This record gives sequence, structure tokens and C-alpha cells, in this order.
Amino acid sequence: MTALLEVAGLTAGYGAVRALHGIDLTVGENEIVAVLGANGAGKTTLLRALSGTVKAAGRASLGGLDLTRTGAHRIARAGLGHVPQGRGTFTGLTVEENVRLGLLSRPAGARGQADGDLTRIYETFPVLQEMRRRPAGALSGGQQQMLALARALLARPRLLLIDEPSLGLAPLTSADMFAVLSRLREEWSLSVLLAEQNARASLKVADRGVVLARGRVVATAPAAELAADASLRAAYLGTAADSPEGVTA
Amino acid sequence: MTEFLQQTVSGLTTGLVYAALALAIALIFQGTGTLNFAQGEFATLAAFVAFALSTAGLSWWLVVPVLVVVAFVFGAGVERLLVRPVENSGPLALLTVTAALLLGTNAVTALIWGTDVRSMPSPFGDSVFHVGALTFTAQALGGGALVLVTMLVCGAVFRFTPLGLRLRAVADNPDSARLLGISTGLMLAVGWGIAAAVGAIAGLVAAPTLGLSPELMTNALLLALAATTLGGFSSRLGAVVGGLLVGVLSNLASRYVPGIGGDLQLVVPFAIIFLVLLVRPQGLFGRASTVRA
Amino acid sequence: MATSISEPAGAVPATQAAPGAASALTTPGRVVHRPIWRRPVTWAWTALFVVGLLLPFLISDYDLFKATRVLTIAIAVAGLNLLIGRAGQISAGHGALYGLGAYTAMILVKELDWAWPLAVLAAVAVSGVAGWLIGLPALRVRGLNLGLLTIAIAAVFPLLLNRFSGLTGGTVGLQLAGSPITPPESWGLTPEQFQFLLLVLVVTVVLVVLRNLSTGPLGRSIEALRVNPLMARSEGVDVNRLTLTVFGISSAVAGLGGALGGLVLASTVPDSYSMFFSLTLLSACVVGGSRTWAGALLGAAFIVYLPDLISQQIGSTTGGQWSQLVYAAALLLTLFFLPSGVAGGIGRLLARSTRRPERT
Ligand SMILES: Nc1ncnc2c1ncn2[C@@H]1O[C@H](COP(=O)(O)OP(=O)(O)O)[C@@H](O)[C@H]1O
Ligand SMILES: [Mg+2]
Repeated sequence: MTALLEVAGLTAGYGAVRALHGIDLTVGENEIVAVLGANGAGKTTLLRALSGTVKAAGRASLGGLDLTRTGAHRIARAGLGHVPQGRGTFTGLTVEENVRLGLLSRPAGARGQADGDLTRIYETFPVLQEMRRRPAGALSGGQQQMLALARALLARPRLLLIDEPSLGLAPLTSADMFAVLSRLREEWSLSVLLAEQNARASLKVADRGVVLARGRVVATAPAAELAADASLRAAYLGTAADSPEGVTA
Repeated sequence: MTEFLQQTVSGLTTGLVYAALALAIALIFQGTGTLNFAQGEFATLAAFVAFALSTAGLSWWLVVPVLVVVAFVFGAGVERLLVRPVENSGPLALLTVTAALLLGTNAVTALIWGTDVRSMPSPFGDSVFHVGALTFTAQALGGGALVLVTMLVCGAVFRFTPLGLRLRAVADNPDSARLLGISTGLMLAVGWGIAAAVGAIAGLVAAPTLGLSPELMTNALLLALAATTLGGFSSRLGAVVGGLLVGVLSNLASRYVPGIGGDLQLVVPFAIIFLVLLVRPQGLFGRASTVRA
Repeated sequence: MATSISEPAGAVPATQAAPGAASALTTPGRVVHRPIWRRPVTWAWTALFVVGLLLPFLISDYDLFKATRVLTIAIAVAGLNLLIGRAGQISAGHGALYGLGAYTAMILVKELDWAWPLAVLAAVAVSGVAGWLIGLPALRVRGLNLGLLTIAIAAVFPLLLNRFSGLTGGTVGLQLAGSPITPPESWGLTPEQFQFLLLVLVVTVVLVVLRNLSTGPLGRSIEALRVNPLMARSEGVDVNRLTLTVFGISSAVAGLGGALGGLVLASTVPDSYSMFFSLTLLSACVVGGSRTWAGALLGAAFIVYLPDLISQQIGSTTGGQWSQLVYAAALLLTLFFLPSGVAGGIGRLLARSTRRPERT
């Protein structure tokens, strides 16, 4: 069986500086994979390389589409969603317009379910409906994170890349966020590649974990196994893995 | 009082031309992040094309839509062929390209049609209307209406259509737009096309009053830049309101401020640019955060 | 490698920008270890200077007159190089500042009977102050605002000249019976020879001063300003004041060129200083190579001789427009294919050919 996302020997960087040195990775249909690693390990770069926003070499294919040779907007249309680090909010547009942009970019086959999906989004994130006429830039960090997730989901991706959704959020908001993530797979039938520093919380959500350090994969294992491996956590995941946020989630 | 009203009204009708050109400039600024020095020359070229079409026997009812389409294709083509190569090279290179476009478009216009000032018949005829003590020419009314409708259509496209939403998304956050499957390159080209089309209508409306020559929009460019500065480069509505204000202000100043008349009217937009940048660089309607460095 | 106008700001760290002798005047600090015969750029400049001193005795006064015009324009373009190539700021109005220098000098000589050297100095001061004033509002937000203000100045300047006709002579401008820049009788030089030699010296001084300025401490701040304004600010560079200083210096240099140009010609008319002249100077700067001082000379020669060449080929009625079209095309082609300009491209070739023997 071939996986939805297959990555082999992927390299990427900024100018002359390499940030990824040959990444191997797969994400199967309906699978959630957590990419773990300390700050600067290369998580963001990996996600960017996959979505075509950073130049990459090596193999990366999404259901047969060569991601290293395809422009970012084509990759997105082929069913790859990306909730970027920093949330990528369209700050000058209203919340509702942000949401509509997600709807606009769904594949033609999914147009029919647009209304149902929108209702579902507003059920999941009631605050977005309440604030739909406000400029999106006025939302709090957590609300913008929800908005980013809503936008990406409404485009109906097959694979969703999510970059540090808990970054900068208060512990409770962060816990909410992980609760939502844990329901994503059932509600939206998609695969997820989740980059996080918060290992404990993300491994509860994920099926498998991939640990990055300095641009290389240092471990790949089922989530439960990784969660139990204290020495690995101590060596590569830094303090964030054991922060109180992880406990509450 | 009547005199004052009449001056205000005629300031508004010329102001509409500046407003349309300012709107075009703001559109390109928001999408591509540069001033387009050549916007006025594009409009002049369009006026000549309209003149040529109409002399070739095309009725004005056809000239306007044909002109809009031709200008759109021209603007989009210029973006794709001449602006795209320096898209990521920083503001200096972008601005220099538009300076080259100004020089080049002006030269081409002069080479094809010569430098003499021609009189262009008004598409709206020569009749004159009196409302109370005020006088309106058909050209002012018809031209004003045409520009107004153009700007309203443009505004509606941006505000209410999926295309407009995509265009605004690219202007707001191009990286994020790309992640949603929007082709930023295509949207920038469309933005240049729309800007050129709006500017073309400005040129068409200006020509019968000012006389058709390669210098048609040279002064209007400065007035439109002042309008955009006043209204705020980040606001489409601001550019339009700025255009009307600049039209009225420079008209009133040339009538009532001793020494400011004829060509020297241009001191008014210059002073506006200078003062607005000193006092409120984001303009009346602009958001401070979106003023690009 | 030389950075250039169309490379992304910040792409090349400041320390990589200068070596390789691509900036045509070599930097003494960097090449001191290199023996003199391996410094072709120094050779070339010395040779050029000597040719400059001999030229007046080799060519006709008419040709000299043209060449003098190249040098006055080159001064303005060199000022623009400092602004664009070094500080990464644009000016679409240097033609107006050049014109301001010309008018100031002419008015002082014609109406107030000033000696020409004093008039030139005063013109430099006036243009510098004018540049400083224009720069003030641009400080609020950097970048495009200088473009906005300078194109506005370029458009308004000729109108102001027409308006204040009491001072400027209006559309007919100001004329002198002959240029006040004449040699002492005992030297045995024609005025054209004297003017050319004078300009060779002035250009040399201007280029050396600008070169030293841009490689000295101020130059390092300017470089930081261009490469990464935010980082420059965090390193304690007063970005606003520096921008203003650079624009002021650049304007003063343009005024110097204009003053000498006006006095040599003994005539100034508003039409000479239109917005198109300003944009033509911009074209000269970029086509020549905004980060090379030799580029200022090449660019100036380009915009002075091209119209003549074209008029010879196709007659003078549309010559101006064809020239303008060529400036535009050259500007675009340079931006696309030779971002460091003609002189920058030559500098790169030279640098490559001199580096090779060092390796073997
Ligand atoms: N825009 C950039 N330019 C240059 N280097 C970068 C840039 N972004 C990230 N890097 C470098 O790439 C490496 C990986 O960073 P990143 O992918 O952001 O890690 P993570 O997301 O795991 O924190 C780091 O060494 C970082 O310094
Ligand atoms: Mg990251």
C-alpha cells in the first residue's frame, strides 16, 4: 500500500544555509503524524518544503504529485492544506471573508457540501460566527489560530499540515486546541501532519511521531512508544515537552 | 456664492478623473507594493487608442467596452512581461521599472501620434445644461457619470465577487493566499489589468477637455499621486475621496488664492503630498500598519 | 560580487558587497596586499585621468564641449549612485536638483555679478538644503515616499521656473553672453579646453570623495541602511537622519553638476529640467551601474551621446522620442539581465580575470 504522503531524502534551506538534510517520512490515509523537535529543529521548514513555500530537493509526493516541482498554489489545489506558523491571518479582511476564502479554494467536487461544512465550522468555533463582521486582525491569538484552522478545513484538504498550533496560547486555550485536533480526523476525514514542541499533548492526538533534530529524523515510532520514552524526550524535545500545558491537555 | 458653487462643481468633475487615476494607483500599490509612475501615461495611451477607434468609425457605445478590454489586456500583459521579472527584487527595482514604463509609453505615444495637441470631440456631445444658476456641459456630466460608474463597478468587483476577495487576499497576505490555492501571480496581473482599465476611462474622459496630446496626463499623475497620498495608499475609497478633494481644492485655490492659477495649480497637489506625509503619512483613510516601507 | 538595484534587499551581507574590485575605484584597505600590476582598476582609472588631461589637445573644441557636458552630467549621476546604489533609496527628481544648481549659479552670476566659483559653491549649498527639505517628509516612512516626493518635485520644478519669471526669465530662461568660466589669458588655453580640464579635476575630486565616503564609517552605516534597515536601526544607526544626510549630499552633488553645466553652457531654460530629464538621469545611473563609480561616467556618456547618434540616423524631429524609448528599453534590459549595470558587468569580468592568476 502506498501512503498518501511519501517523503524520501528531502532537503531544503534558506539561501546557502541548509535546514533539512534528507528527511524520510510517510503519512498514510487518515493518519495523524506528529513532527516533534526543539526550536530550530526544522519542523517549520519541513512543512514549508511540502507546501511549496520553500525550495526543496529530493522526493516528496502527495498521492503521486511531485511536491518539489509544483508551485505552492497548485499544491494547495491538489488537496494539501497548511495552517502556517504565525497563523497567516488576512488581517485586513473580516473574519467571515477569511472563512469564505477557505470555501473558495475547495475542489469542485466538494462545493455541494459547502453549507454543511460551514455550519459545522461555526459549531466547532462559535466565536468565529459571533465575530464574523470584525476585522480578523482584531482577534486574539487563540481565535486567529481557530480561524486559520477553519480556513484550511473549509478548503477540504486531503492532508493538513499544522504548524505549532499551541505556540503562544494560554494553557487552557491550548488544551481546547488539542481537543479540537483530536476530533478532526473523524469529522473531516483527513490526514494530518502536526508540527509541535509540545510532545506530550500532540502524542495523545497522533498515531505516530517523528522526532527531528538539526534537520534530521532521529526517531520514528508509534505515538504511545514515543510518549513512554523518557530518554528520547530529554535528549531532543527540550523542556516544552514537560511543560504544564502538556499535562493539562 | 454661485461662483463658489460653480467652481466646486467643476472641481468635482475634474476631481473624478484624478479619483479614477488615484484608484488605479492605489490598486497597484496594494497588490504589487509599488507606485506606478506610468499610470498616467497608460491613461494617455488609452485616450489615443479611443481616439483612433472612434476616428476609424466605431461608435462610442462600442469604443468604451473595447477600450476597457484592450486596456485590461495591456495592463495584465505589462505586469506579466515587464514587472514579473523584478517582482522579488525589492521596491527600488519595481519603482525603476515603472519609471522606465513612463518614459517608454510616453515615447511610443509621441512617436505614433505626434506631439501636437489635438482636439478630441466629446463622446457626450456639446450641449450645455443650466440648473438654477449653475452651468453643466454634457461632457462634464457624461464623463463624470462614466467615471463614477467605472469606479462603482470596480469597487463592487472588489467588495462582492470571489475574484475581488482573492485580489484583496493577495494584497493582504500573499503567502497565506498561496496556501489557499490562489495564484498570486495571476492576481497581480489581473490587478494591473483592472488598474489600467480604470485609468483608461480616466484618460478617455480627460481628453476632450484637456486636449489630446502625449502630455495629457502628465499633470494628472501628480494630482492623482496627491489624491492617493491624501486618501491613503492602502484604501480604495480613500483614493477616490482624495481625488475629489484634490480636484475641488486645486480648483478653488486657483480661483481664490492670488498667484495660484494656470499651471501653478500643481503647487496644490505638491503641497498636499508634502503636508500629508509630514502630518499623517498613512493618509485620511489608510491604516498605519499597512503603509509599506 | 557586486550587489545591485534589482537584487533583493538583504540578500547579500554588507561584507561581501565590495571585494572583487567590482566597485570600480578599488578600496585601498582591501587591495593593499596586491602588487600594483595586479590592480587593473587602479591602472584603468589612472590611464583615464591621463587621457582626460591630454584630450583637450587632441580633439576639436566642439567635441570637447560635448565631453564637458558628459562630465557635468556624470557628477549628478555620481550623486545618484550614492543614493541608489549605496543607500538603496530612489530619486526621480535629480533633474530638478541639477536644474536648481544651474539656475542658482546663473542668477548669482548674471544678476549679482558673483564670481563663478562662489556662485557654484552657493548653488551646491542651495541644492543640498533643498534636498534636505524634500527629504524631511519622506522620513516618516522610508522607501516609496522618497519616490513620491521626488517625482512630484520633478513635475513641479519646471512650472515654478515658468512662474517666477522675474527671477528665472520664464520660458526663455537665462542666458549669458558667454561662459564666465574662462582661463587666465596667459595660459594659452581656449575656454573649451579650460572648462574640460576643470571638469576632469572636479569629477575626480567628486568621485574620490564619494568613494571614500562610501567606504568609510559613514559608508558602512549607509550600507547597513540599504541591506537591512531594521538591523541598522537596532545597531544604533539613526536611520532617518542618515537617509536625510545621504539625500542632502546626493542633492548637493547634483547641484554642483548643474551649476557647472549651466555656467559652461551659459544658458538655462525650464524645458531642460523636465520630469523626463530626471528620469533620464535615473536611467543613466542604473544602466551605467549604480554601485560603480565608473558607471556614472558611462551612464552620462550614454545619455549625452545617444540623442546625437539617433538624430544623425533618423533626423532630429523624432530623435528625442526615439532616445527616450531607448533609455526606457535600456533601463528595463539592465534591470532584467545586468542588474549591476554595464560598468558593474565589466567590473565582474575584470575581477574574474585578475583573481585567476592568484589561484595558480
Ligand atoms: N527565513 C529563514 N531564513 C534563514 N534561516 C531560517 C529561516 N527560517 C528558519 N531558518 C533556520 O532554519 C532552521 C530550522 O528552522 P525552523 O524550520 O523554523 O525550525 P522549527 O520550526 O523546528 O523551530 C533553523 O536553524 C533556523 O535558524
Ligand atoms: Mg517553527
